[in-house]
Amino acid sequence: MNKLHIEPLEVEKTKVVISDLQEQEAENGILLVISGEIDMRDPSEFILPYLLRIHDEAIAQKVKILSVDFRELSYVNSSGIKTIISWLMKSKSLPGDQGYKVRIVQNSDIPWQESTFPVIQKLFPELITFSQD
Amino acid sequence: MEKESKIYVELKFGPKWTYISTVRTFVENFMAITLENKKQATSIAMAVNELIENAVKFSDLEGSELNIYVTSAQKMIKVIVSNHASQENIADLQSCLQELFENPPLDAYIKRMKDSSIAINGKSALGLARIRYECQADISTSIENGIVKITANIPIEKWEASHE
Repeated sequence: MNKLHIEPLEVEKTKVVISDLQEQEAENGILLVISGEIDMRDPSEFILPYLLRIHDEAIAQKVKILSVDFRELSYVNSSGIKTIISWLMKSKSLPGDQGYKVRIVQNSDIPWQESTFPVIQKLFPELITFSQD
Repeated sequence: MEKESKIYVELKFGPKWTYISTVRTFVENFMAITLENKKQATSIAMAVNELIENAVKFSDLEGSELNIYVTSAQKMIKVIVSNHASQENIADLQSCLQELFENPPLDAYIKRMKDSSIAINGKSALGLARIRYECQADISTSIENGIVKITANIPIEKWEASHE
């Protein structure tokens, strides 16, 4: 079990798995692997509450880095983008010493990731960093 | 322009949400054997997905129509999605589109991202802003007798040798 004590989520074609980040330089980090597809009508019904629960627990546990691995997420519709933005907005609104940074691990061979992430980065230049697969 | 196209898809289906991903997959496969750039085939399938989702959200009756025309002369994909909508939904759509077209594609997309995260009715037009910027789509609309028709002209890069 991860330090946030949150179980994986599997809803429709989307799967989210949480584990503790093993890297030495990120002693208090969490790894989130989101895979499959997000093409449901309303991701705010299941996925957003789940991400906000992670957000709340991450604050409580003083997590400093949240690495989100999107490499196996082959499709996201605009409602899914809205869900990701809503979650990142929550993180952005926190004072610097209380929040966490988000590192997005992306796969540039997947077209939506290549075209959508650069725009999201413009919205959250201080909050998120990117790394390729 | 449609009549000049020798490569096309015309589909009419009940606008149920569960059909959308099946249509997206079909369009992606169709485009993958038409275009040299396979990533662009996936991007066009994404655009179709967003337009159909939009049609389902704004539609008030069964039946949504999808037309895709590949026009080699203009190196363009024309995607047309039509559906019937209530006067209230048409007014919502027109309001969203007016705001969308007031700004350049990237600015409008970023604004829609921000606004959609606090929107409560799910009709943010983020999908239209997305394809306008990510697919460089030129979007136009027409409304006649309660039928909303959204047209997206998407430029394409290269063609398979058989379609030159």
